[in-house]
Amino acid sequence: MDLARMAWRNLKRNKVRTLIAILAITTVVVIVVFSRGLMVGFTESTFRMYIDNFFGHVRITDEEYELREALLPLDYTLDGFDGRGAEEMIGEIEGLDEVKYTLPRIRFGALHSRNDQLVRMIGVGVDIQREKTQGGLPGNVSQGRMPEQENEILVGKGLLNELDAELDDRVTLMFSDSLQSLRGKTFSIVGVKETGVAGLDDSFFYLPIETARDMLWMEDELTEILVFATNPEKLDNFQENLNSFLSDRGGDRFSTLAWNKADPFVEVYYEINQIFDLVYVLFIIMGAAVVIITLTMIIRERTSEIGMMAALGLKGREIMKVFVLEGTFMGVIGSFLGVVIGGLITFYYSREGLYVESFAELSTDLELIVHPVFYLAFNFENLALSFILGSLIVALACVYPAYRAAKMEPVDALNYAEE
Amino acid sequence: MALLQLERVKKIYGKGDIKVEALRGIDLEIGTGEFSTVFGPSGSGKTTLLNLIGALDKPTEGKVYLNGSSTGEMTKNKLAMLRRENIGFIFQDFNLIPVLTAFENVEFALKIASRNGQPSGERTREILEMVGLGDMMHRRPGELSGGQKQRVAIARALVKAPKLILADEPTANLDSETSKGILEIMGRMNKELNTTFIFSTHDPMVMEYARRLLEIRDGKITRDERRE
Amino acid sequence: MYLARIAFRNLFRRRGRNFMIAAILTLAVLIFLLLESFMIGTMNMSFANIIDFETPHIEIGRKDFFEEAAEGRELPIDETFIAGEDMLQEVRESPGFVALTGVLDFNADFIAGRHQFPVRVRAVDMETFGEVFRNQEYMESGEFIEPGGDGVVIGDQLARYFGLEVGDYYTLRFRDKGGSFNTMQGEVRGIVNTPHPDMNLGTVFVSRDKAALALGLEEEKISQVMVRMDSRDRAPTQAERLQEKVGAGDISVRSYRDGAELLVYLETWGLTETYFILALFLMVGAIGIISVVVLSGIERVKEIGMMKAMGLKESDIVRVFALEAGCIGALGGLVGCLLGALGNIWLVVRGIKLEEFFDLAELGAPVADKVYGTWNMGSFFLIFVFVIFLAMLASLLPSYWAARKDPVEAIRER
Ligand SMILES: Nc1ncnc2c1ncn2[C@@H]1O[C@H](COP(=O)(O)OP(=O)(O)OP(=O)(O)O)[C@@H](O)[C@H]1O
Ligand SMILES: [Mg+2]
Repeated sequence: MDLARMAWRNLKRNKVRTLIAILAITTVVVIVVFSRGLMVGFTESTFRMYIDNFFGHVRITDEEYELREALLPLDYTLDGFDGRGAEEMIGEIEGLDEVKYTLPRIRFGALHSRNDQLVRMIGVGVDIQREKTQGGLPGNVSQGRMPEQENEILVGKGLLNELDAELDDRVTLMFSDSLQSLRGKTFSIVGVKETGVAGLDDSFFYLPIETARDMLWMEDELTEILVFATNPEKLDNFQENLNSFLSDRGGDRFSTLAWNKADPFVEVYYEINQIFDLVYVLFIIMGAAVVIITLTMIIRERTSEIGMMAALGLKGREIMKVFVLEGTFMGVIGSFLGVVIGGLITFYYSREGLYVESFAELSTDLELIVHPVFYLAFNFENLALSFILGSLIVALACVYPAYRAAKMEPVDALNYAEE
Repeated sequence: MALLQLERVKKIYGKGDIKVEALRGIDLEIGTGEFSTVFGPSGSGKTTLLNLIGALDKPTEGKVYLNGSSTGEMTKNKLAMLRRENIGFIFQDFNLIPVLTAFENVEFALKIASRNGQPSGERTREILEMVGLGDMMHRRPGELSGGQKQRVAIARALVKAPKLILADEPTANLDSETSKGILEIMGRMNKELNTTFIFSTHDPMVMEYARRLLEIRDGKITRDERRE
Repeated sequence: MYLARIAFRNLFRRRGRNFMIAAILTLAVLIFLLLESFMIGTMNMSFANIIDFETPHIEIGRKDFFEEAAEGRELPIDETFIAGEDMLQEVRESPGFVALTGVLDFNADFIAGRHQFPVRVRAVDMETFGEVFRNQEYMESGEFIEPGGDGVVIGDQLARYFGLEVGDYYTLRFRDKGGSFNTMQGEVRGIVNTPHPDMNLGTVFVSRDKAALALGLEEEKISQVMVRMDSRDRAPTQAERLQEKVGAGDISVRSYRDGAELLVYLETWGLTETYFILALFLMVGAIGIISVVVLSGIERVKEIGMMKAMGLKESDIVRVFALEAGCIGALGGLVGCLLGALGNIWLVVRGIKLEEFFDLAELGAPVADKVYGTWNMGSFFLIFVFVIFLAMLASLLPSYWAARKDPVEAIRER
């Protein structure tokens, strides 16, 4: 006898009841898909900010530099293996199989005095060619273009306001060079960078790395190299290999920093994400409770039927199978609907973004590196995972009530009376 | 005026193509204190008729007058009020409330019917003793036999001393001994309290008790016979 | 009466099922209570740190000073003032007043060796500073400021960056009243390590008379009057009252909350998250209630039919179901509150070592290593009532569906 077909027919016996069980699963799966999309989207967009702008997958600096980073010192630079220059060092690193590309940078502090007020900012010398072909910087240029010439800069939108300047204006900036003397230089603003993140837009400007070297009296040096991995999932491995490569080449002064360890904020979210994976399972278990309840009721109702099946010679295992299948069908249908509905919702918000007003206002006031609009992550991995999780947990949950049904003695089952 | 009056009552089940005409024009008058039986083959419309009489349902066509007012025009709540004051039901499969004891099942019915929460325990006990359940008042339906359950159902219908008691095949699930006992109780009620009874049944023994026999076939009354 | 009895007994009829749903509600309540206690505990501790080390319950200063500070611009030396005796008297007479001190905050570059770092200098009055703030109690080495001395007290993080120890030389470079650069030089007198991380890096303490002199200000000039009160709850209302009384002209009176934007942000964030999670859990709980009512409705079709035949109205039947659901909610809420209280005792007494989870302190939230829960009786009460309300609400639609079933059909069924 075809047990699956029997289970399927049974589902249609009381449609309202089946529907309710399915809806319960649908709801929890929608919740899981949505909140996973939210969490992953939020963390990914935040993480991308950190990766693209500050750390790459792994950032290489001098040990001392990392220690005093807040001071933006120019005394502890990367000047290559045994001082043979950064150019060679980058070349060798990029030669590694695991490395996709690198972005060399020089960061330094600068000042502008306006109406007797000092505006503090951070200048970043970037390799224009590399940024254009590989980096994320050009994608954030909202007006104008990337700097090309020696005296051109790209300025964050918020900083532009602070400077009270506009595109194509000229500004004079002060800075201390690597010999600690205070100097000034006039730049023309050729581009505006806008990420929507106050912490980034309000304090950074970008210029060609050659200009930075010139004005800071630096040679073939860098403050940091952002290294991007071909396979970012295996971050720990990658960092280890990079470390051993660096020390092989004689640089024990070098320090590497993986992006997910770089900022406590990122770390917090990284770990919260992991905790949340448990919460999702919890949600589905709660949904599965409804299926268990339904199944228990169905079994109670069909006690005499079960007795009859047993009397007809159906084995306990087969009876159990009928009920597990019945519950599993509900789980599968519910999960499928949940994935479809949840998928549609996440897809919509992955396009439009979820705007939470109270956060938006506050996060622009504060210099947090958090995007005020949450773009949910829409990917099929999320959907597939939620579907499998939903179906599997429900199927497992059905085993117990089905087992109890199968264990019933045929005589008891036949003589069973309600209440 | 008669307690109950039906005028050209029709009842059609279903809509669209598949229609079942369960009652096709019934004219009937039943006075207070009558003890009648409706009988006929299965599917002839007995239950339908009783439901209409008991204001559980409304006729598709024609009028049902209970106590002089037509049920067709009443709201659901009005019908509920009408039922709680005038009618007691006894069903084939008892329909007791499983979470209440025999005593509570009966008292509950009395509480619903009585407007002013007059003391009801005494009366409930009386009735239960009358149907011979004095010593098992505090059992739940699950702990009673079919006949005992049916007696609780009868006590529940009797306790509020309604004008009309409708019993749809009350003895179908019972053996003849038990049936007889129950019928005797009802007969006594009818004589002592002048309660009107309408039965539906297949059971010849039940018919013997009745003083008016109504035969129904294919939704029409084909025989109406009184006897003493 | 009977309706309630029926509802109550029905609860035990399908124990397993009702307990399961109650357990979901319990979980929702428990998680909410603990999360909220933890959240508020964290906030309390953060605010306590702010109050003890940065801005006490109430600060009084010129409007423009606060505005420039909020904009992140340089603190304006021109926006300092001399606190009049009548103002101070008024403050002292406020209910809950504990102590006050005047401080003079300004920006400077801290220079040592070849490096420099922008800092906020807080020039303090040693006579009264300790009555309001607790920085002195957290000296890592050396001593706190001495009146008239050249010594500075810096945070341990700043000291680490510069590699400084007590007795090393420093220079502070800033602009004086006239706008020309001036410096203060001397030795590092002490290194402080407070539980408020902000104060360990970007803030430097000097003595006020010295600073006023170097800035070219009169000796009594201050940027803020800092006022300590006996309780945090009192601060916002007293700030408002004082604003009325002494806030004439361009003087502004603020409570500790006004300056702590980051915390207010984190608070909003944390609470929103807590409520969001609660909402999700309760949604699942509501689904559970709905399914239980639907299943009971299906099971009890005949009973419902009979009750209607006996003359019960639909609303009576809805009432039975709503009561049942309410009881499930009450059970879930009660157990949740009890477990929540137990868990909270642990949170309140033992506390959670945050570092075991993550380094929140480095986030910029002024949190020391251990966070303790709080008791919010209001939350216990509210969530209990709310869960019952929600359960009853969720039961309405399905029980109406069940009650509306035609009694004739209901009795015929099976
Ligand atoms: N709800 C309904 N929907 C459709 N048809 C119905 C419905 N209720 C009754 N019928 C039909 O109406 C006719 C009369 O039914 P009714 O239940 O009144 O018969 P009965 O005389 O009580 O039969 P029995 O002796 O078997 O109880 C039957 O043909 C039945 O199939
Ligand atoms: Mg019938």
